[in-house]
Amino acid sequence: MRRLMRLLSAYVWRQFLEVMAWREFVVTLTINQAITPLLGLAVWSAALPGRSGISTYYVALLVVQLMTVSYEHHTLSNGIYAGEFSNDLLKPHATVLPTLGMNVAMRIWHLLVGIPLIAALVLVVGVSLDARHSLLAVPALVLAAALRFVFTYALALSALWTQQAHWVVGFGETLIFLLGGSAAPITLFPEGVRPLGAALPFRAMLGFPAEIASGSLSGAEVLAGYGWQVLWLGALTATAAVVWRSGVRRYTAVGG
Amino acid sequence: MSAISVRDLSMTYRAPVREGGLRAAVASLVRRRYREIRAVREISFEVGPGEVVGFIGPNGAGKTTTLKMLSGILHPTDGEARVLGFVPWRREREYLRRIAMIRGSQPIGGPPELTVMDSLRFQQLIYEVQDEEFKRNLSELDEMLDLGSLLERQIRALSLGERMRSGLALALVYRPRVLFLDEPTIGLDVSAVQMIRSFVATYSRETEATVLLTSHYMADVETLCRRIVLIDHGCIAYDGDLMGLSATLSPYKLVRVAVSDGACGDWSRYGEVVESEPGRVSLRVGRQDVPAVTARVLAELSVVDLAVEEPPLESVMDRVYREGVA
Amino acid sequence: MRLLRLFGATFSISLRRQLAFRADLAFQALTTVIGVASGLAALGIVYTQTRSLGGWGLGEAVVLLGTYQIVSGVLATFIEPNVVWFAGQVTSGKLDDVLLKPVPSIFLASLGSCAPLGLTQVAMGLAVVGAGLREMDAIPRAYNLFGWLVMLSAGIAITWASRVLLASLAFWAPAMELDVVYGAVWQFGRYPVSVYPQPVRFALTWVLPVAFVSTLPAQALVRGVGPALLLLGTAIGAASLLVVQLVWSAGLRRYTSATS
Repeated sequence: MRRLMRLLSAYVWRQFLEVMAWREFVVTLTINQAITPLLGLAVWSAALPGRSGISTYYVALLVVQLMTVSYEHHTLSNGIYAGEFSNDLLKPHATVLPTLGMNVAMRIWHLLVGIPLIAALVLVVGVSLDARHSLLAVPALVLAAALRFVFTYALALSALWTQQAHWVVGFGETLIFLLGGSAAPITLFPEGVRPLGAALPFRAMLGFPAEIASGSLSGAEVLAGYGWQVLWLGALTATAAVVWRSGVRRYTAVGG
Repeated sequence: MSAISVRDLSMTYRAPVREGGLRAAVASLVRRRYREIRAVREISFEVGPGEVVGFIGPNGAGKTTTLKMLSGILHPTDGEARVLGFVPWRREREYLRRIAMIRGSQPIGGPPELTVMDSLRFQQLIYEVQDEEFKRNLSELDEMLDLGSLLERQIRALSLGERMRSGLALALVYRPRVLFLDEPTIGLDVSAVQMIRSFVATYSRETEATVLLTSHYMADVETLCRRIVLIDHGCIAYDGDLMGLSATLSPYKLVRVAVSDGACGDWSRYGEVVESEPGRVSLRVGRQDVPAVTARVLAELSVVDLAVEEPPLESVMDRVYREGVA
Repeated sequence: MRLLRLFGATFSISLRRQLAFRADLAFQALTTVIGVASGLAALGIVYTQTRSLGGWGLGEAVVLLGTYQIVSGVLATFIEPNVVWFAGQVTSGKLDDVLLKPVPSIFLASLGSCAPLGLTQVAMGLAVVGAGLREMDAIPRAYNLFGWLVMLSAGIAITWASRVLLASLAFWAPAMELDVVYGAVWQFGRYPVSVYPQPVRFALTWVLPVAFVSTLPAQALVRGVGPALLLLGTAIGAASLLVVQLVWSAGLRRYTSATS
C-alpha cells in the first residue's frame, strides 16, 4: 500500500509536469468544464429568482466538477488505439497507475486554473457557505472523485473492443450532465423522479457533495447519500475490474 | 522564352528570439527581439522549357524555400521570379492550374479515407479537366505508374511507395507544365525508387514538362538531370552540367592502379591513399598533378591497369555539404 | 457556380466516405439523438418549476433550442471538420496543399470537406422546432417564417465567419488553440440570452454574437421581427462575411511571407 501510494504520487508529479508544457490548453479545457455549471447557475437563477441556495449550489458544483474531471477516453482509450497501452502492461505495477496519475494531475490543474473563476463567482453572485456543511461535503467529494474516475475508466476500456470509445464515454457524460445535478439540482427534479435521481450513481459523482455544501439536505438525507456513494463505488469498482480482466484477455489474445 | 526565370530572389525570415527564464519571457511580451534568417540570398537562374534540373544542397540550404516561392506558397522578401510568365506568389488561378508541387514526405493531401479514384475525381473538378482528357491522361498515367490495383483502395491503406505513385497521378492528371518535386524518393525502397525515377524521366520526355527537382540522393539527380543547381547557405554555388560539377567542386581526381607483383612499397609518395588491397590501390591526386603522377607510376612500377576517374558524386557532395564550397 | 459544384462534390465524396464506417454512423446518430433529447429534458425540468424563463414560455424555448440545434448541425457538418485544430494544419504544411489549388483558399480551407452525418442534428433541430410550435399551439405566419429564415441565414453566416476568424488566429498566434473555448461559448446559445445577467447578455449579443445564432431567429419565428432588426441582422451577417475575407487574406499574407 505504501509502495502504491509512492508510485502514484510519483506518477502524479510526472504528469503534472508533463501537463505544464501545454498549460494554455488546460485553461481552455477548464473553461469548457466550467460552462455547464455556469449555464445551470444562469438558467436556474433566472427561472427561480430569489430562491436561496441556488448560487451556492452551482458554485459548489463547479468546484466538484473541476475536481472530478475525467479524460480517460483521451488518455486511456487513445493510448489503446495508439498501442501505448502495451507499455503500461509491461510495467511491474498495477496498470491503472499511469492513467490514475494523469487523472489526478489533470484535476489539480483544473482546480488551480479554476480558482480565479471560483473566486470571482463567489464575489459576484454571493455564496453562503458554513463550515459544518463544507466539512461534511469533503468526504463526499473524495468519494465522488473516485466514483467518477472508476466510471469513466470502465467506459474508456471499451476501446479494447471498439473504435468508438469516445462516443461511449460521451454518452456517460451526457448522463452525468442530465442526472448528476448539472442540468438541474436533483432537489428540483419533479416529485416522481426525485428518489430515482437521488439513488442513481450520477448524483453520487457530481451533485451530492454540492447539495451537502449548499445546506439543502437534512441529516438523514446526507447519510442516505453517503450510503449510495459507498454502494456505487463498490459496484462500479467490481464492474470495472471485470471489464478490465476480460478486456486485457482479449487485448493480449488479439495482440493489440 | 524560359519556363522559369529567377532574378535576385531573396527570402528572409524573422524569427523571434526567446531567452530562457521568466523575466525574459515577460520582457518578450513587451518588446520582442527578432533574429533575421536569410534563407535564400539573391539567387538567379533560368530554366528552359522541358528542362529537368536538379536542385541540390545540404539541409537548410534554401531548396525547399525556393520551391515554395516558385510554387506561390511563399512571398519572397525581394527579387523577381516568373514561371510560365506568371508571378508565382500572385497565385492566379491560371498559374496554379499549370503547376504541381509534389513532396516525397507528404505525397497526398486530403482525407485519407477516400479512395485514390475519389481523389482523382476531386482533382478533375478542382483543376477543371474535361472528361475526355481526364480519361486519356489517367490511362497514360496508369500505364506508367501501374495504378490499376490502387484506384479503388483507400489512401490510408496504401504503402509509402503506393502513396507516392498515387500522389504523382493526382498531381499529373491535370497535365501541369511545370513540376516541382521535393525529395520525391525519400524513404522509398529500391524498386519504388527505380520506378519513380524512370517515370519522371518518361513523363518529362513525353509531355515536355519542365521539372525542378530536389533530392538528397545523388543517384536521383544523376539519372534524371543533365543540369544541376547547387545551393548552399542560400546562395547558388554551382549551376551547370553534371560532369562539370565534380570538376569544379573537387580539386582531386581518383587514380586507380593495379600492379602485377605484390611489391608496392610506399604508395603515399604518389598521393593520398583512399583505399588499398594487395596489388591494387586508389589514390586521391590533385587535379593538375594527375599527368605527372601517372607518368611516375607508369615509369616506376609494373602497372597492369591504370584508370583516372572523377570522384564519385556522393563523396564530392559529402565534402561540399560538410565543408562548404571551396 | 463553380464553387457550388465543388461543394456538391465534396459533400457526396464525404457522404460515401462516412457511409463506409457503419459503426461510426450508428454511434454518431445515437449520440445526436441523446444530445438533443437531453437538451429537451433539461429544459423540461426547468419548466416544471416555472412557467417562464427569461420571458420565454416552454414552447418558445423549445423553438429556440431547435434553432440552436440546426445551426449546431450546420457547424458540425460543414465547418468544424475543416478548421478544427487549424494551427496544426498551418504548422504541418497541410495548408500548403490548399494554397497550391486553383480555388479560393478560404473556401477550400474552411468548407473543403464535410461530415454529412451532422445533418442528422439539423433534421432533429427542425423536428424540435416543430415540436415547440406544436406546444405553443401556433402556426407561424408566413412573415414570421420568412424572418426566421433570414435571421437563421445571418446566424449561419456569422457562425462560419466567427469560426474561420478563430482559426485564422493561428496565422498570428499558432500556440493559441481556442477550439475548445469556442465550443464552450457556443453552449450559451441553448437558452435565450435574456436568462443571462446584464454584462454577459451584452457580450453574448455584440462581442461573441451567440444571440444571433438562436435567440434572434427563434424570436423572429415566435414573435415576429421588425424590419429594423431584420435589416440589422442581414447587415451584420454580410459584414461578418466581408471581415473574415479581409482577415483571412491578411493572415495568408503573413503566412506566405513569414513561415518556413
